Order: sequence, then C-alpha cells, then structure tokens
Amino acid sequence: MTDQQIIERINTSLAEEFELDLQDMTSEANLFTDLGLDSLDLVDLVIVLEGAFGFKIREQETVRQIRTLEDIHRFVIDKKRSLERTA
Amino acid sequence: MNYDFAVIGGGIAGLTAALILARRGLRVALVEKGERTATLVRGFERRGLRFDTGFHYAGGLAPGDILDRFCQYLGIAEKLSPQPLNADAYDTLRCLQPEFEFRFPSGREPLRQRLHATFPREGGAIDAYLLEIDRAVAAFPYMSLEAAQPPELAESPTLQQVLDRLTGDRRLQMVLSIHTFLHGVAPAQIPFPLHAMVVGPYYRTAHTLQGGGASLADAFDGELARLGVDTFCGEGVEAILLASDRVSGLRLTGGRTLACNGCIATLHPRQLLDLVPDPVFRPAYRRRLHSLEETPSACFRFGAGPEPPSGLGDGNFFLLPTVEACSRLEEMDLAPGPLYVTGAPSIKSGCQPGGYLSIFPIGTRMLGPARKGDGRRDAAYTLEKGRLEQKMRDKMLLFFPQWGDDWSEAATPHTLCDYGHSPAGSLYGVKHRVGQTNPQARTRLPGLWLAGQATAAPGVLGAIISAFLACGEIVGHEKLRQELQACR
Repeated sequence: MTDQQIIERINTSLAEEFELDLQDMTSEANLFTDLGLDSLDLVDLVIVLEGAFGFKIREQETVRQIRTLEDIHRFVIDKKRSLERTA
Repeated sequence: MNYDFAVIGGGIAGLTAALILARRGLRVALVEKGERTATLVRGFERRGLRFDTGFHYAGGLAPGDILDRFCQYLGIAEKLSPQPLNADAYDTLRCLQPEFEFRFPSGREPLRQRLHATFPREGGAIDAYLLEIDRAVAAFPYMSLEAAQPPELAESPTLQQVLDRLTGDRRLQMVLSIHTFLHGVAPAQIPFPLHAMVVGPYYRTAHTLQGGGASLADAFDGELARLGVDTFCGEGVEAILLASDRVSGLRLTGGRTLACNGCIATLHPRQLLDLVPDPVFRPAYRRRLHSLEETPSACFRFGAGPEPPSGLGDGNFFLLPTVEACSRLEEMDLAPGPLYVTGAPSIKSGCQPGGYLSIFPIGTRMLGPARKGDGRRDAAYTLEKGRLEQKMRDKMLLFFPQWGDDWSEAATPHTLCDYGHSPAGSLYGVKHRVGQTNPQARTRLPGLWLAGQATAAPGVLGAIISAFLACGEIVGHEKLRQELQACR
C-alpha cells in the first residue's frame, strides 16, 4: 500500500464515519477548528482507523497530540511501516 | 412545567441521578417505561415468599463503606436495614470436577487466611492478587474519592492475564474467578480494574437487605417524593426533542411533552439511538453503540420444597460442573456454565428462606420469538421453555441430590426482555470487555448525558457510580466528591 493509498483510505473512512466533505479535507485542515470534530470524537476516530487498517492503536499519548489531518496521515503511515518492518 | 433535568429510566442509575440533581434544588422529572421504578431490583412475591430478581447481596454496605456512603449521601441509608451474611461462608463455591468446595468468609483478612490455608503453596500469588485488587479499587473514580479519571480499560490486562501471571493453580484461579458471575464477563474478557471494582467490596463485607431489593427501590421512591421529583411511570420516551441544537424536552409515548434543559439517559445505548434524530450523532458513534456486546442472559428457576439446602438462609451457592465453568457463561446450553442459588425468604418471618431462586447464565438470542403476531405464546417457545425447565431441574439435582420441589416456576431470557425492559434480556446490559469502548457520560449533544450499567460498571454499585459520573459532568466532580467525603 503506497502512502497515497493510505491517505486516501483514511480520508474516505473519516468522510463516511464523521460525515465530512472530502473537499474540506486538506492535509493541513485542523480536525477541531476546520472539520468540526471534538475531543469525544477521538475515541471513535481510533476505532475507525483500527477498523480501516486492521491494527490496534495503543499510542494514547500520540493520539491526544493529533491536531490536523496530516498528523493522522503521518501517524498511520509510520505505524503501518513499522508494523511491516517487524512482520 | 419546565424541568431543569429529565431522567430517562427508573432503574438504580436513573433513581440515583434524579436524587443527586433534586437534592441540589433542581426541578427533576423521571420517566420510567415500567409500571413502577426499578422493576428488576424489586423482584416479586409468590406463595408468601420474596424472590429477588435483581438484588441479592452487596459488598460495601458496612457503616462507612462505599455503598453505605452513597446511600448516606442520597438520603436513603436510614430506610435500609443491611443484614450481614454468614461471616464464615457468605458464598459457597462447589465444583463437581474436580470435587472441591471453598467457602468465602467475610472480610479481606479472613479471606486471605482461608485462601492461604486452602492453597498453602500459593501464598505469594494470593497476597499479590489481593493487593492488585486493592490498588485497582483505589484508582477507580468514586470508589475512591481521590481518583479522578476512569481507568483506560481498553489498555488493561484481563483478569485471566493477571491470574496466569500469578499462579498456575487451576483451582485457585477458579476461586478467584467465580465472582465474574457478578458482572457477567468471562475472565479472559473482563478488564482487571473492572473486575476489582465489582469484587473488591464483596471481599470486605457481604450484606443482604431486610426486605430485599424492594426495600432499596422503596427507599429511593420515598426520597424522590420528598424532594418533589415528578415520576412518570408507565410511559416510555418516544423522542428527545431539540431546540437550537441542544436538548429541550422529551416526547413521551402517551403524547405528553416534558420541557427540560438537560437530560440524563440511562437506557440501553442502542435504544438511545432511536430517540435522537439521525444527524446528531456521527455514523462512527452510532455504529459503536449498535455493535456493543451484551452480557449473557439467563434462565431463572424459582421454587419451594420441603427442605431447601441448609446455608441458603444467610449465604449463596455458586455451583460449577467443571473447573472451567466460569469461562462458559455464554454457552447456548445450560449444562457447562456455573449456577447461582440464593434463598427466597418468607415474607412473614423475614430472613428464614422458605424457597430458593437459581440463576443459570446462557448466551443471548437463545430462544425464538416468545409470542406470535397475535400476541399468544408461540408453541415452539412453550416447548423450548419446557425443555429448559427440565434441564434446570436436572442441573440442580446434580449438586443437591436430595432436592425436591413442591412447587417451581421458570423464567427464560424472554422474561428478562419483557420484565426488565432490556432489548437483549442480558443480565447486566452491555458488556465491559477488553477491546470494546463503551460510551462515556458526555455526548456530543449539548444537554444530554448518559448513565447506566453500560457506561461505568455493572450491578447496583456500577449503576450508582455511573450516575455520579454523569452528574459530576453537570455539577462538577470536585464538588460531588467533597460532598461525598462529608458522608464518611
């Protein structure tokens, strides 16, 4: 899976599960101020990403630091790459 | 009439939430679908005996202990008469394969000593286990007034993982797992902190209430009436109404509308989704609430005979066909799982048991539809119920070969659905298990909070704590904790 494919899968999953408009989902979009998510949505964000990529997310601290869509992209790509390395 | 808060559901969580808010001078309405509040906890009377369907015994009821302190705070403690169970054996565990019996004595130190005496080589494991229970209880919000945040259950080890780390003794594991019955989640699934929160208080003291669960429900009702809470029984909620994107009221099934500024919903999370217009919650949240796993359901047998087994007057039995029975709460067959038996006291003489009640956990979605389209009992259901009754009788005879009933009645998972207004007829509602994220008190809808067994923890204590967690979001946790502290 290329980085671009990962990014696309993240964006389409989030668009569907959080009823977001793909047009607004630029990399630099802030989840809270631009896309209207709140801290409660972070729980579901983790569950959606786990479902989309089939891994468990236990990095609570990193998740709490997430602000932009790009932060999510980078987090998932890094995690996927590190899982591939250890596989 | 404009209420400050409307509470949906008159179970223990809803009753607690209504009292916490009303005692602060807020105008509160409570809506309960059943004819009375706390149906399951009230139980029923038959042939001069009281059968407690929801409340059997509780930990933490000794003066100054956790549940007593909540009752003091809620103004219901004076109306309750806790009766200590048998100090030498409040619970008796009996296993058939291998043949083994363990009696739980009251108090943490007596329990520690008896465990040491029974498992002399496992002293280190026993002490470590009890210490881990203490620590987890001390970190659980409102179980300890210092703890602020609910534990990250998704990250916790399971009870089974903790036991496997401490001991390889299967019988000791069985003794320390038997109280999974009190939350309905198998050792391999239950987050250890949640197991600790449920069993910790029982390891300290075990009481029943004179007058049973009904006395608890009556105490709540009395205090609600005194504080001027308007209770609407026999009416369900059809919709949560919104105005300017926040809660503005409830529409009841009878057509009545209650205006309110806020709402605490204690019903099953799945039922909540039907009350809130679709765009309010995101698809991800709706999907999560929809897919929450249920605790097992159960079959019940109520009976009376010439000689109920001795020990039922002030203690309970947990009966296991095999050492693995605790892991088999969700079987679709009654045979492999554990069985719980408690006394049914005679109403006239108070505590003396004249009968018994036994609970056989079973997986949910066990039976086909109970009724046909015309409302009459389905013939296949009646047949299946008869088969289950026979299995229950056979299983009781395995443990008590002398057992003889003059009279008995049975209830199935369907009964739990109808009578407890629970969509799946589960014993403790939604499961708390590792890998599942249950909803929290806060929701994204301004003016709506959730409470009930699904949010914090199961059982009477779990329901009460869930109400404190929801009300703490409204009035401030710090304030609530300080007030509770004054009730020591």
